[in-house]
Amino acid sequence: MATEHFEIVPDNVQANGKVSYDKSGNPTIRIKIPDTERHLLAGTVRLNGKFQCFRNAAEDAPIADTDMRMAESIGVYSVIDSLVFQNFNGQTIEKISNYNRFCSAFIPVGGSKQDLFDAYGTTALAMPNFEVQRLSVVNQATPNTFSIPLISGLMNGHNPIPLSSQWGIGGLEIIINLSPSNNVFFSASTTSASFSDGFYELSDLSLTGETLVPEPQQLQQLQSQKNSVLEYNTINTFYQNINSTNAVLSMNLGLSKVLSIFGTIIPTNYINNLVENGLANLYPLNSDNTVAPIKSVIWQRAGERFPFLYNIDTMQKDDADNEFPDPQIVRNFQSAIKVFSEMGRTNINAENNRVEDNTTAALSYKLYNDGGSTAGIGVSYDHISNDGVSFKNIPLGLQLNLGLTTNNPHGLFLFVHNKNTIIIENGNVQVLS
Amino acid sequence: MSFWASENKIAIGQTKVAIPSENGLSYTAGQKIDITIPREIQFFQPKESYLSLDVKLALPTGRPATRLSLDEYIGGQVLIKDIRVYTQGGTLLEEIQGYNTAVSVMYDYDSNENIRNKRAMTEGTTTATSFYRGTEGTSESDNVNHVNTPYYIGVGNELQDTAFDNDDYKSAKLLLPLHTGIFQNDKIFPNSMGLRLEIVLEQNNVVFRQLDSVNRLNRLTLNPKFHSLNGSTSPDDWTSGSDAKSFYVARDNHNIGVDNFPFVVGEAIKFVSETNASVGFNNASNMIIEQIEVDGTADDNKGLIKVTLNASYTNNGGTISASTATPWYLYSAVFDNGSGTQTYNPSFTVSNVELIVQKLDMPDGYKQQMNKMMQEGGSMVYDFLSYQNYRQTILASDTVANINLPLNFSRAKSILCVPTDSTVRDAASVISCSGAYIYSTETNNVTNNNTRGSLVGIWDNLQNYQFNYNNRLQPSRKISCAKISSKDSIDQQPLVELEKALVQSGINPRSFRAFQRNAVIGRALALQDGVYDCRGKSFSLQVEYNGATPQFPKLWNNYVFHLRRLNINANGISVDL
Repeated sequence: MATEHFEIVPDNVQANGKVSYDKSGNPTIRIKIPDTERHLLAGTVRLNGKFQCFRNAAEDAPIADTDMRMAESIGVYSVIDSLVFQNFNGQTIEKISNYNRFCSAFIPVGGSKQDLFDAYGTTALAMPNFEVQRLSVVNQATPNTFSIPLISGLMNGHNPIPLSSQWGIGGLEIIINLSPSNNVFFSASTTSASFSDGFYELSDLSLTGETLVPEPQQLQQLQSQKNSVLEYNTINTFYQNINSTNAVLSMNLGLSKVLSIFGTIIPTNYINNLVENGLANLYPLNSDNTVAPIKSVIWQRAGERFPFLYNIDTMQKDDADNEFPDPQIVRNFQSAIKVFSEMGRTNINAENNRVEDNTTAALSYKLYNDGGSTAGIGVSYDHISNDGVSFKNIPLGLQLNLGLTTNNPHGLFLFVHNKNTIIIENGNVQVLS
Repeated sequence: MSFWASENKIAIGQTKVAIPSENGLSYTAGQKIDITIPREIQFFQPKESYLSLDVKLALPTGRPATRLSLDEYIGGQVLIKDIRVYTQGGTLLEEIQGYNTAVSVMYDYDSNENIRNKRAMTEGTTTATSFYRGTEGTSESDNVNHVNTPYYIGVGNELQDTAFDNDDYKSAKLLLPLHTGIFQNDKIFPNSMGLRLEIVLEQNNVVFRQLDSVNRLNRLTLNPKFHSLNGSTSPDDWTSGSDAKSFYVARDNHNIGVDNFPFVVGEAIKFVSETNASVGFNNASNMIIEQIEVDGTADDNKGLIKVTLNASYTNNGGTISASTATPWYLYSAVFDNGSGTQTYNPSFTVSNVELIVQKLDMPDGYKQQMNKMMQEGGSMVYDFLSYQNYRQTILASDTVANINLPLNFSRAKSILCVPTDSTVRDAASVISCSGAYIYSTETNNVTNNNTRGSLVGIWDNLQNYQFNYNNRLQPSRKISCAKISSKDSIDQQPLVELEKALVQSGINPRSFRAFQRNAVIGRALALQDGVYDCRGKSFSLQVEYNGATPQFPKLWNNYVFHLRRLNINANGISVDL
């Protein structure tokens, strides 16, 4: 089978080719990969474009003393709030909400510091050193180019995606909802006065990739097949609020093949806040920004402890001043993304995973080395058979015993790693989760 | 398994259970920990199972304080001296003596930044940090991280005047994968006979390490540097015969804040010049730190760390120079009083010991079929790559030695020989590296003593080696180690041989940065998936120290990696070697 390259521009971009959440009033990018008699080689798909930051509405670039920063560990992924794949009939195949938060957890756990320097550095404008990232990306007066894979199950699942409406999904539309600038940028200091109207702008956007062109005989076979099945792993996002010493959460995931769950936490007043990094992954904090440590974690299924048949009591349960992260919490977080014993690359280390205050007396999380804070929780349900555990009609329970003794609501973003199945039958598409 | 790629396999239920140790609540050096995995856990995944424990370090009573940790490269693994795995019925499945030395080889040679970080977060190792980075051209040290360590609390950048003591040591939780054949196997383990683990803890004089940034005998130039007595832009010397109660520390080596400064209140210190590192004490009595602070006005408002001593001391040695051309360094003198070494016996306590087991629930059909086959006289075989230690000692005066290895494995893969320093040393000697093997002549470090005592291999002027097995010399010519032993060059052949042996031992040889400080001789007995039958064949290692005189007696730990087979049937279990 032959392959052919394609380049597609968004179909909803304004005449000047620029897209900005704040400036253009056009916070969505829509790109359509046509309904053709071909397979999409999803692993080759890249979103390309230019990225530029401005410190004010007059479109002045940040200067040396502008305190403007962005999440250095994910770079341009910061601007994607949600990522949706749907066919031309509007049937949603995959949707990852809070995509930038997902990336801020996934990339540091599954990628190394070296990946941030090279792979993510050159393609996504990321960098483990926040100051280098600020000077080379945020403060650049000329736009930086980027070319990023859209990290997702459909794009990374190694399955060629049939695009035909007869024997495939019927075209693929990619919808990228952009994130507001005040959740992309944050201050390097304690004030955002130097960039209070700051915003980002994307331009010259395109989607490139390769398609697989079937030979005539193969095409005949494909056209004659009545149905087919496509399996891929995906992410479903759930959000919960925490504001007590004993957070008891119960959720109906509605998913039948859950492989793992990982979550990140942030005080809700840090989100969409130009002073704080709304994409930071932190251990809980009290309202005075002193640490509110996780003392125990209990994962439940149908009200029973599962898969850990014991309570995960942390070191901070007996010693609240202990700033070293509990290894069980860290290990389980990492295991939710990659089998721990096989994990050869990760950027979680003692420099950027710390149970620490966010006060002037302590080292602010903004000054952490190696890509910034990497705290999180997680659980792996199945890393052997890839069949997962059903939460279809069974609630997920999560109990977090915290030192959160003050009124300081936290957002808990849970990313559920689930196996999805697409059934294609006579041109109709059905997604089973 | 890829995060995104979807695969279809037989569904296997997976849960994690915590099995506590059964013969005590806490353990100290030399004690034994027993853990049983009951046969009710029919199947488990060994590689995702691990030992969880808390460890708390304690300083010796009545002695000056210092920051101690477990071994920086293997962390909590250093606590495990020997390990035995039995069935519940008492059949010995594997026994590993010198476990921590074997793990030192694994962790030193299977290493990269990611893996070191992973170990630091879970196993109690430490890694290099930007909070204390050398600015004097020293090699990077993994044992300078007193800021983010699991063993004791860090301090903020604020005045410190409370003595560091045992209350500052905290319980460190460690998750230790067990590097035995069974527990490093990818294959699901059929636990039909139950497993019993016996873990023997290491002695106190082996496990402790002191920061390289306060140690005189390893990377001296990484230590804080004397600035002056006056903290001025015209720094003054501490002249011989004069008194002082406080002094300032130069900003070199990132000593810019109290939190960066590696010494603690209550620590005994001395000064030593860069040029006479091996001889230099300047004061007959130790000086004790009473207060550490940053004087923001010092050095023309650039700020310097100011150290105040508990008394005014007279410099009865040579003048401690403030000149940057002839710098003087601070070092921790908790192990000597100027007239000789003193004992220093820290200890550790292990508690909350649990084996976290990844329990698997196999499909009923699979279990029924297996039981049926067992009842019909069938048996199940389970192969795993294990290793056994054949120890031999040689004297320092032995310049030619023939180390006999009475191997009897039918499926041997490789051999790793680690010549460790068997000099009898107390904890003070090991921690201070006093009299230890010098592994490198790296001049920027000034001093390069082995900090890991009897845990690691030492070259000690080994000139060459050669194996003799099946009545043949193998390789056919001697392997020269003379250049490595001379510490200023590299023999490539022993490292190529070692790489092959590591691969055959199931150790991914990602890094050879430890080739000087952890000497290992390796020989692959077969390549790829092959094995070598050692039964009925002679086997020996011949080593020659016929160059410069060796300095240390040695205990050779010879780890023979081989495939073991468990035969499990209705009547019981047997082990084929």
